[in-house]
Amino acid sequence: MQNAQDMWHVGRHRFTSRLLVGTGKYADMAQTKTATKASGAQIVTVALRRVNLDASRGPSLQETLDPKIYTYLPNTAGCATAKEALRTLLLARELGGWNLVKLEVIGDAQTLYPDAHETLEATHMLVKEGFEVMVYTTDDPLNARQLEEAGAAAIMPLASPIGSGRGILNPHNIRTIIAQSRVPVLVDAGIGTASDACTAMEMGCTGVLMNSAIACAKNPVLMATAMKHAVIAGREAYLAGRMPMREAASPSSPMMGKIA
Amino acid sequence: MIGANIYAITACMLQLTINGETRHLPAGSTVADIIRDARIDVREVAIMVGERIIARSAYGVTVLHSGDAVEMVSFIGGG
Repeated sequence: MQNAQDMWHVGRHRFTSRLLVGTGKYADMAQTKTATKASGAQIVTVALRRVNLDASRGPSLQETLDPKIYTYLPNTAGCATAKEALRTLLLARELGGWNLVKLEVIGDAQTLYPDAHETLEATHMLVKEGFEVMVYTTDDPLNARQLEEAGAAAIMPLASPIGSGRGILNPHNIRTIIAQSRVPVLVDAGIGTASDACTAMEMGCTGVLMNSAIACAKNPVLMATAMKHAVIAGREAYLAGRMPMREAASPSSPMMGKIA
Repeated sequence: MIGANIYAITACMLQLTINGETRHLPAGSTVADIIRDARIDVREVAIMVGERIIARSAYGVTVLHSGDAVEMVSFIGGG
């Protein structure tokens, strides 16, 4: 059960669930709805795309995931420049007034790595426009610090490339970013299975954002449930304070009084 | 005469693009008209005409012109 006392803040918003989910790559809207519900997520990322004018359209995303129940986090997926990102988010704000947004400016189609320069420029522009910007970035602590100084509401370093499912490749960098940041740090991209999410939370991440890990699992709804538990388990382990690692063994049963 | 009729018809039509596709609309068409023709809920769409984002409150009074490039967007699933 999620602890109502352990809320987290981003911008002017407060949330209980520390699992944020994307809404892409599902088989259909029914699966999107069921998996998202199973995850317990309160925040869902959404993309902005042209309406298909000719084909008959099935249920819309807003019919499937009620924006009054879920906090929509519009993303800038597909944008290659700061200007494109700003235009996308201004359109999203016109659509529904959302101010809390996810910024991603991808610099390379092969690796889907963020373009550090455009991302920083976009952060400055968006903050000036009054957006609360959760920024997808590399696990470079210097990039993360620059983005925070530019006014990012949250720093979202990748664990590994988008959709790769390889887990946290550089835990040292993630820990460094967590230690230096005064805004929430959420691992975003590269989570592959429940233990990856749990590990991120044990390190002290505020939350985790994932899409492929759930949608591309053999059983997305079951994986969504697993991720929900993993994020809670990792968070509680972090709050509990783990035992120290020791060089030598230390018996769990006392030696005194043992039978001769 | 046929020529005069064709002239009268084309003078009453706009040629513009919506989402990159060429469309012909009656002169005086508004943003609200194209949203209605697309059979999409007005609350689920955002519109740009050229570089201008059109406020929802102005859909009914924003008249379209020949040569306009309209972008009609909505939210879809994404990561």
